[in-house]
Amino acid sequence: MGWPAILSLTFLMQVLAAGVSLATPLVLTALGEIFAERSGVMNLGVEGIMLLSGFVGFSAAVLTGSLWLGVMASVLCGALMGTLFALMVVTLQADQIVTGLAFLILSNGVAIYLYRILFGSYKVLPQVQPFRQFSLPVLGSIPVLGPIFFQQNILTLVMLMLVPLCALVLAVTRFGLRVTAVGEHPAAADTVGVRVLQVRYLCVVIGGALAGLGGAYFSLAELGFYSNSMVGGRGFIALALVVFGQWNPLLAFAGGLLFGVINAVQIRIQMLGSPIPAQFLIMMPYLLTILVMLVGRARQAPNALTVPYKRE
Amino acid sequence: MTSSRLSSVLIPMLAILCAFAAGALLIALAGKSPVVAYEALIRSAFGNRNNWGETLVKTTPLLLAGLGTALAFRARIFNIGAEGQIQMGALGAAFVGLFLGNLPAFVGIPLILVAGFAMGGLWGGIAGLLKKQFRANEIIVTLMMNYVALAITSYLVGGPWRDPASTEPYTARFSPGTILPVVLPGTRLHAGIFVALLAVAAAWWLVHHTVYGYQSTVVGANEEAARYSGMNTGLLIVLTMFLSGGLAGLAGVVEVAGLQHRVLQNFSADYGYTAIAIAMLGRVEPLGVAVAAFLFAALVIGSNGMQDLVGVPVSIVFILEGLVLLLVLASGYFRRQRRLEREGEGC
Amino acid sequence: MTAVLELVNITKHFPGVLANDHINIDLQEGEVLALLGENGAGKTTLMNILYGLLRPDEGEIRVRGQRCRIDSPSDAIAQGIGMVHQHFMLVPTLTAAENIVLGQEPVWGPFLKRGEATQRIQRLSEDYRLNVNPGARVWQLSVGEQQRVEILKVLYRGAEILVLDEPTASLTPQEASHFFDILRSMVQRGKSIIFISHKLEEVMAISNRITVLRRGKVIGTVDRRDASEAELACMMVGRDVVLRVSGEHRAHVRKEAVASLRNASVVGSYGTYALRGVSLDLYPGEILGVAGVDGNGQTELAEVLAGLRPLAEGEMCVDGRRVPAGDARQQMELGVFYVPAERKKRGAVMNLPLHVNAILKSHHAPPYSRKGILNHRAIRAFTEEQTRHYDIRCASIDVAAGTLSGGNLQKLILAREISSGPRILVAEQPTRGLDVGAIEYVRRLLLEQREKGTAILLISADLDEILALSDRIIVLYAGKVAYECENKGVSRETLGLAMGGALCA
Repeated sequence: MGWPAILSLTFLMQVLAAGVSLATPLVLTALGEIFAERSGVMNLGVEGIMLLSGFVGFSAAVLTGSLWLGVMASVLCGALMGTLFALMVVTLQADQIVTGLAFLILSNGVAIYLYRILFGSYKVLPQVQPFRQFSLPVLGSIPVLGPIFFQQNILTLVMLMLVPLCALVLAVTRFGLRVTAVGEHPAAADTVGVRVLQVRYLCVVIGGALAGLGGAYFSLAELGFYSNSMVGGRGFIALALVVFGQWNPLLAFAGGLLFGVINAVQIRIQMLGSPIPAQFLIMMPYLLTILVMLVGRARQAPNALTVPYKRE
Repeated sequence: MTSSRLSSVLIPMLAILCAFAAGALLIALAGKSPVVAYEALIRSAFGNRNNWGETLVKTTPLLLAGLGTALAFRARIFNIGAEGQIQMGALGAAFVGLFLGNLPAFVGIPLILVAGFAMGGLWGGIAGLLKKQFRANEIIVTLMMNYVALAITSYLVGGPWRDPASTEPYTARFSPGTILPVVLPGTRLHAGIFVALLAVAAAWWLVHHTVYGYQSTVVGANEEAARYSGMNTGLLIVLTMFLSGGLAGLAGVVEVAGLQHRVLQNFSADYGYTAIAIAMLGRVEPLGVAVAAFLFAALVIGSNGMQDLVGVPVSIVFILEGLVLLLVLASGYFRRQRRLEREGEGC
Repeated sequence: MTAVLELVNITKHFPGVLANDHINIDLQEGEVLALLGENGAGKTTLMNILYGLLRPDEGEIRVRGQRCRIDSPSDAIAQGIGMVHQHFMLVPTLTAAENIVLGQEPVWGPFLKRGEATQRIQRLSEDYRLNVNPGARVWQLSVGEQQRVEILKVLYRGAEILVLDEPTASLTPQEASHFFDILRSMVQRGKSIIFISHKLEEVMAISNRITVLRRGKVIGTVDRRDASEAELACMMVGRDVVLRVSGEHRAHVRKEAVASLRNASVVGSYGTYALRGVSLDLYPGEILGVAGVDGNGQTELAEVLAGLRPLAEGEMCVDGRRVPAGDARQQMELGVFYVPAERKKRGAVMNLPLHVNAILKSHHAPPYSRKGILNHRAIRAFTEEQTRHYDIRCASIDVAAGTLSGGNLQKLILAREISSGPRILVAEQPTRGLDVGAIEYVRRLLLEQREKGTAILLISADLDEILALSDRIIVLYAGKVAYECENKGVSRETLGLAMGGALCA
């Protein structure tokens, strides 16, 4: 393929479709983290949750032969870890930053350790048949958009569904309103009878569950096997997406697409031998996030983010 | 020691004990004897001169990065950018080691250290400046800058600065005058350990004996009171981030100039994030950080040996680290409750 | 008329102080009852008990004759009691409507029925003439509008009994007048209102009856028609209290003012003027007492002098020379030192040892540091000396400041400020929350400083203290100097009137 091919629509669509796919774990985790952070809790450990949940899901899939059981196991694992995290930072009011990092270290260790224990003796690399790409009945046939968004694997499609769902929950449900209130001014919410701690617990568990789902993507949709480096920093990117998207699911999704597409472009360009170093492309989303932090005054972080709530 | 100082030491020790107990269970789960495994751990970390050397080699960058992180945390500035600052420090070192020709050691070594410190300091200082001017959340900014730094390093090491004699992503060897010499014959232990120890002493002195250290402690404890006392908190933030980044930069220098003598892709193996755990366990005190860094290093080296000799996976170290940290964090709740009760009586 | 609310024998202890002493209050249906009192009278404690934020030690609450238990704000709301706090409890990024319905949102399954919410709010707005744009975000609203949102919040929950805590504290006069219209329309529709205030004019304008609290006790309840501002002022601040004359009030030959403010206006946290056109002079060796109820600009006044707040208008002079406001270091160098009211948040660092706190303001200069290096021996010696000299009870100078009792903490702070040899000392509520012994001690210290020639600005909500210590007195009301006099034979009544705003133009 030469350079003119890049400008062809097919190539563009390929890249965009790949971008959507690559964006899946980022967006899933970001959606969950948006709930957590909107309620006032920052979970830096999502990277670890993704890895451990991805491992748990993979193990379940290998041991039971069912990918879906694997996915469920991942989500459950993530939810459990979310609960533990909430216990530490909401009930015991431990410092959220450090606790998140502790979770990171711990989950990494547990995942790697258990993998060795369970599969260390396998002579052949344990594998599963990952989720296949398929075309969604009606939507997949739409010109241009069809191949990009609706010819994907099931987890990606789930992600696409969850984006508007989360946006909806936050915007028009009672729960969403309370989440926002709790993250901005927990004392005000408390005085009108909103259960601040309960809301935060729930949001953190949701965050964990979605991070778990994101982790499942790596082992059950992208790779078909488990690798210690399969998350590779993408949990942190999800955190950046939350800020980049100003704590809004739709914007975070857009940011995720951006990251995903840049990733896809970077892969293809490397194959072509580009004049622009791949790394500069990789840098762009992070620099953009920093820029957003400086300029984004319209929607600042939730006021009570990382501040534990105590009734005075 | 006052009761709070006592508990500052006792609680991490208790946490370590609990974690090791949990670790023993996990080892048993793997079908190995915990006693044998732990014995192997200790022997691999401290058994002979070579092992001591390795442990201290590992301690060096962890200590420096931990000090840098602790300095920032002390002022309640959540610098999680040690990883990126380490990278930039290494790049600064690389510049001196690769492009300034053949320097004599008494010029090369100080120069490489200064260059690394400056680059790391610059990287940290930028985040500090952004926090001061724009009130940008330093957690996200430093996190993002980690990735930018990693990308820059990756580009340089894989491209313009790559060793022409190879197609692998690493730089050429540094010039001999910029390489930190080995100080314990028969091991890989290099002069970086002295840099680290000096840094501990310097940090200790800075924190406890200078106006800067005093101000940073006060700002970290109660920013409002600091402002009400006329302290220039903005300047303090930038200065702290510069020093913090600089120390992390030194961690990068000692790794590349002391251990590997070149810059490799991914040379820093998440030292930056481990540094945070070390800073917290060391209660953001330079001496505590030194001890914590040493223990972490011993764990890492020992666990390598434990894997080779007994077959217990290395990853158990992470589990131990994570558990210790979580237990210490959880204990903070009870300490705070006790303190609230005490305060209530007083006033 | 039936009593719609009765507080019977409410008693509440806090360590060292009896905040509410067998208080009996009744609220008749459809009336506005004013609760009048200065700081420390016990009004806030009482209302917190009513709203379920505190439990009383003794006593009971009866709503329409029925005894009821109020353990949380939800219980209070269920009883039809709604409270509008002095400091608003609104989520800035949510809309007015969202804030109003939060906690009792109209829903269809999980979904908010925004339309219905807006409708209900519009109706309430019209009924009570509370004009508010339901869709506006709270941070965009003016203080007056925010208050209307708070009122709608309680009305939305079906409150029949409304408690308003210093409602006009942050309102402009126009907004305040509009606010009274709202109150009247609420009463017309059958609501009963408790109105907490220290402002005599307002209380006289709007209430049916007035209950006066002082030092935790009910002094009396009068009908508005039978009361006069003078009488209320007397009840509020007391009469014929034995004044411990702890210092001579000599009419000294006044030298040059060491510091002065001319026409100073300062913007406060709500965006409104906290000080308006204040002029005052501080003379060496003289105590200028600033009387007034909290929230009338005292803190801002202290902050301006300490260099912690800029001036919006006017000027500040030290030694006759104009100095720019807002530079704390500069003020310290000019010899201005400040003992803030919020000891634990601003005056000291609770978690750090005494010796760290002792040099909080002097650490950057010899003998405590030279060229950026601390001199621990000097610091420790200084701290030891201060703890001995001022009899600060502590286990050692290494303990955290948080372990000290209130009195000892204040001594530490004062020791620190005084040791720098201040030319001007700003003391804000210096004896608040201290036991009797500590109060005496602190007052003695202030008088000692006066003898040494320090100019002292004493801000206190305790009128006894002002009268006992000051050479001259000014009263701050709504950010202005409402009254000024020498402390010779001035009557408490006059001061009370000034504090209540009755002497303001």
